[in-house]
Amino acid sequence: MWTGGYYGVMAFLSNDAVVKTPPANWADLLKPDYKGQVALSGDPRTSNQAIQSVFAATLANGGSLDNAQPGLDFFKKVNDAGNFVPVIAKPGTIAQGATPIVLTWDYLAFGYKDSFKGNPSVTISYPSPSIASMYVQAISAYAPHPNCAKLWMEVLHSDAGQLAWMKGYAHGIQQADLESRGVIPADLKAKLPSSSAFASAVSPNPTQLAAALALIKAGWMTTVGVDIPTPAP
Amino acid sequence: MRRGNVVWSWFWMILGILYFFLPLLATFLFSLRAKLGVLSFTAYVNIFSDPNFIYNFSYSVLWALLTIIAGILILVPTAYLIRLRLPQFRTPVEFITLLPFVIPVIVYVFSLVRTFSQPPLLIVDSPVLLIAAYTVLSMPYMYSAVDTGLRAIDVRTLTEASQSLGAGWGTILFRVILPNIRAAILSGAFLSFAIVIGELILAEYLVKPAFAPYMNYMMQQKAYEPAAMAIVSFALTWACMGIIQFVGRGQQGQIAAGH
Amino acid sequence: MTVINSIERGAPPARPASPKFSWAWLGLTPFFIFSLLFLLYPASILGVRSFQDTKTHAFTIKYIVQLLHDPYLLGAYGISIKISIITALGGGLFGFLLAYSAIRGGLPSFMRSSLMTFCGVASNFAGVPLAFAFIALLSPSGELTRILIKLGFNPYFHGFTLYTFWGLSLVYMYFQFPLMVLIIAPAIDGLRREWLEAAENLGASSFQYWRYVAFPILLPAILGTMILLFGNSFGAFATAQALTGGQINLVTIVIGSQLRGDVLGDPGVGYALALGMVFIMAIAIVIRTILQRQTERWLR
Repeated sequence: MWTGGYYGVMAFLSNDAVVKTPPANWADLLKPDYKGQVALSGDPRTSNQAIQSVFAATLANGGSLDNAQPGLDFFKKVNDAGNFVPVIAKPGTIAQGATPIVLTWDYLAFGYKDSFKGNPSVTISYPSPSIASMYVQAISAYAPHPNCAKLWMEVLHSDAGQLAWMKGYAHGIQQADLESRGVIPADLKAKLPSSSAFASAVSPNPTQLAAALALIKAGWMTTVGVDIPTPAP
Repeated sequence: MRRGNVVWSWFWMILGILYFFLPLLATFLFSLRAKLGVLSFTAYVNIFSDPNFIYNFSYSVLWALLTIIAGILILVPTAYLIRLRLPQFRTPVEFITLLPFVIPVIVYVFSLVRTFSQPPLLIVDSPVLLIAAYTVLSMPYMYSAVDTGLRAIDVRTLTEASQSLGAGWGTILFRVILPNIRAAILSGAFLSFAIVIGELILAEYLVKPAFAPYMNYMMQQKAYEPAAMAIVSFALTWACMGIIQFVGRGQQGQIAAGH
Repeated sequence: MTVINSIERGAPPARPASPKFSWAWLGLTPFFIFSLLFLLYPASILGVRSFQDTKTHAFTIKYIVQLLHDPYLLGAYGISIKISIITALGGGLFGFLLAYSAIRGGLPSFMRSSLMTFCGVASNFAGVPLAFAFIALLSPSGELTRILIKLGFNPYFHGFTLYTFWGLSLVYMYFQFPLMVLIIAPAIDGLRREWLEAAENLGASSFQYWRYVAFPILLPAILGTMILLFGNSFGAFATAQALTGGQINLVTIVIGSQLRGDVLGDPGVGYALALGMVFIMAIAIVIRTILQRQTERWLR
């Protein structure tokens, strides 16, 4: 059995020292200002986060939660425009400037922002529409101590557990409920983005997600895996 | 040596030094930027105040030393016997020592986990498996180094001489042969040491404290500290190599090539 | 004492077959047990699972067939082999020059030991830290790039980029050069000074010395080590993945994506690919062994 624990929303993170005007939405990523600046946080052949970055692009480009192909095509366009940089983005490469614009989960983005402490200063924005994708906890059917595991699940879904996740900027699955009951401490609430910022985020169901993951994983090399075109001056 | 040759030597050396040091310098410069606008050692202070850093690095050094010892214990007698007595075993043994070279580490780790997670061989949690796996990974280099060393000395005469003076096999191996192939063993030891410190996948999947997974983990979270860590680990590993070389110095084989 | 006097170098010992022969057999058992347990048996799983359907565990050759027919997978082998050959040749050549300069080039002797220890470290400096080091140096915002731009020359406007096949090859050299240096050093040591002196005495020029004395002796060792470099590069993947993300199609990365990663692949394909790698490497090693035998003659 499994339940959703927390979820993240796909966001743009950009290094203000390198990128003067951060991109606000998907279409911006095609602008010539961002030559060689757009990166993913992983290899789309192995990383869930990277694949979902591509999946997130599909909604703004004529696709739907059932059809992830436009997302792949969008990234092909980004690559052909010379805007894509194949380096896998890490905090180091973001700060160094090699990957100044990154697609990543918002909770990770906020975490990086904290660790940077203003050096460099970064801007986090939610493209619209974006994808909210959750992480689940599962109890194995073969578990030797299932009740112990279930107790742990209780903890995770209690107010304390959900607030712990939110301290890490993840959206607890019950965030809306906690908000409505006014249980979130004020200082924590101030640090989190307001729900309206990512109101346009949609959540794929597991079947859609599985289909999209398979499609993107298989299609990435053939669609986007070409030599990097040299950026013109 | 002709004069012209020395000029060429310096040329290649300087080229090499540039190629090797510039990327390190760039990493170092980046690591100094942890504080906005100034160059400072903040990143270094941060990593040294993290107890996990020393913890993981020390474990990796420990694993490396144990791997070197295991490698010497297993491979020196083997190479010696083959050279001296059993030349017919040379090809199969060499083939086996080169296998680790051929198998991608990720595949190897998976098969190790599968093999050793069930009784009676349930050692998947034990450091013994980790050391054994590291030893296997460094086998091609260690064996090649030991073999080269043995080739350069007159194994037969040394053995005969020792035997006629009444030495047993243990004495022959460890007090006569071993000191004479010091340089070769050192070379193999360097490579093994570096392999263990740098090996990421093995330690990750066998879940033991080690430096490479720790650095990898930090890289997902922090910007400047991993660069500092890379520099520090490079320097520390180089220092360890220097120590190994210092400890292992001594006259290269008395009966060396050339008589 | 007579035993020693009668032994000539290279001649077989003049002694009757002794019971020690069985001793020798036993002496090899630790090695064989160790290899069997920690190498051969786990490795055989690789072979078994390449022919085993992942779900049903039935015998099948479908993965091998898929391998041989999928242009993307075959292309992966092509690119892996290509980069391995290039970095083996380049790494071998420059590594040899470096090693020779330090050992016989008339440089101060501390350079040799510094080079050796440095190469020990550098030979395993790979993966994300290595990729990052080159990014820090040569990316559009890298240290060297910035200096060059200040001097008025932007390499990126002239078609240079780090994130291609050639950029990756450049980065791979960082662990190829040191490996070559470390392994070829004993062979260079074995190049006796007497030979150089003898050649000079006979009036040979530098070129003639190299062409008729040094290279024939060293060539098998150089070629053999280049094959090791080939294998080293063939098996690498972390550096490529960090530097070029999902752009470059290497066999090792494809295997990794099938065997692990957040999204499930087909392990059977991964194992079949690995088997293909083993096959290619086996050929390379056979070639190397033949070359090794040749070198033997000269190092005695």
